[in-house]
Amino acid sequence: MLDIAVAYQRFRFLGDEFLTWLWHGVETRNESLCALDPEVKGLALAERMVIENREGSKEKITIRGEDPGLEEARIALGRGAWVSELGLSLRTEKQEYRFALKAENLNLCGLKMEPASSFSLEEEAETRLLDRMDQLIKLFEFIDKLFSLFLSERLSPKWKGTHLASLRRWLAQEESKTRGL
Amino acid sequence: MGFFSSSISCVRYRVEGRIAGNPTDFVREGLTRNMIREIEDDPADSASGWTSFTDPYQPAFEGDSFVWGTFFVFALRIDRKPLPANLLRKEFSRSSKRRLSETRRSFLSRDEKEALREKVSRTLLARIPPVPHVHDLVWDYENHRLFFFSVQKAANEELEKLFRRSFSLSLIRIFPYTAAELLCGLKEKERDLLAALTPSRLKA
Repeated sequence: MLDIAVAYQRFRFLGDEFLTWLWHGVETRNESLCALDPEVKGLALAERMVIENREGSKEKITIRGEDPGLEEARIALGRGAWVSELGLSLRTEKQEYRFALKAENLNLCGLKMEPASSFSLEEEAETRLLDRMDQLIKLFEFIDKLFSLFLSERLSPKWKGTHLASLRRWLAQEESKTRGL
Repeated sequence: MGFFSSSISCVRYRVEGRIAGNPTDFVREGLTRNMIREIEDDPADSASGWTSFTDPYQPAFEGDSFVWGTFFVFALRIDRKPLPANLLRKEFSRSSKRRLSETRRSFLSRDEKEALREKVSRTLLARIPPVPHVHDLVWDYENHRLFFFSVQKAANEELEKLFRRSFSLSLIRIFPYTAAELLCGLKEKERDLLAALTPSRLKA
């Protein structure tokens, strides 16, 4: 394994590409992403997205709010930007999670989740903690499955010709729609 | 923000290495040895150490109080004393005048000023109460992973340092590259491909 500090900078692009791939996946093959985990019943974009272009114009766009219009974000991607933070909503049979993932470090931010079981005020803190950790670990396991799928496609010889090409086509289509062509 | 907050943030780590002997005893010893030290009435400007998850202001690690299910659960506490520059400047000015008046001199040498500034700073710090910052963590010992409930850079750096000092084990932060290396079960050939990877371009 490479030196950690070197690898952090050298492979920073991997997180950007993962979140951009994920946005594309949520919109174009949602069911197959959810099928990575039988407990997952729905995956959707949530109210926050940050797009960054670290080259050239160095622009940064933050989009917030329920059901935000993402045209501006797509146009920025078309200009060479990447998703650097992605808000997601994940639904399982027992739970709904809302959170944001950061591309740079895969940190999980602002996670909101309901308790899977209802506890009385007197309930032992240990029971509550174990319950919450169980939910959190399940969420991380799903994120890891998404990342593994991304990585297998990214390392595949078909990345450029199939997966990246599909991402580009999707962007081009969205751009055309936005321009009303 | 704590583990039971309505909104939580989390950084994941891989724990490298294993503990020889009884892990609970070993962890208890590491926690006790590096427990947060109270710095009230003390000129120190900051302190950091381990504290209890349930009662972070009265740390104690007796018995298996930090063992919850299969996890070790405790917290990192960082206490800091905010010393405003304006306050230091004001007290230093007063002390300088007092010193000049007592010694019937018209100026202080650079060394005297430095020593006086240090003395004033220590006196003020001993009077300022520390502000505690508590960051919860859950160590899943069996699965070599640790969940730290703070994304603050300084808190994460302190965690990595203190963890190594306390338990002689390394923490590897999970970020895209380490996630690929450690969590995705890559084969040798895939590792080579990963090492050679360069950024894609979205613009055709």
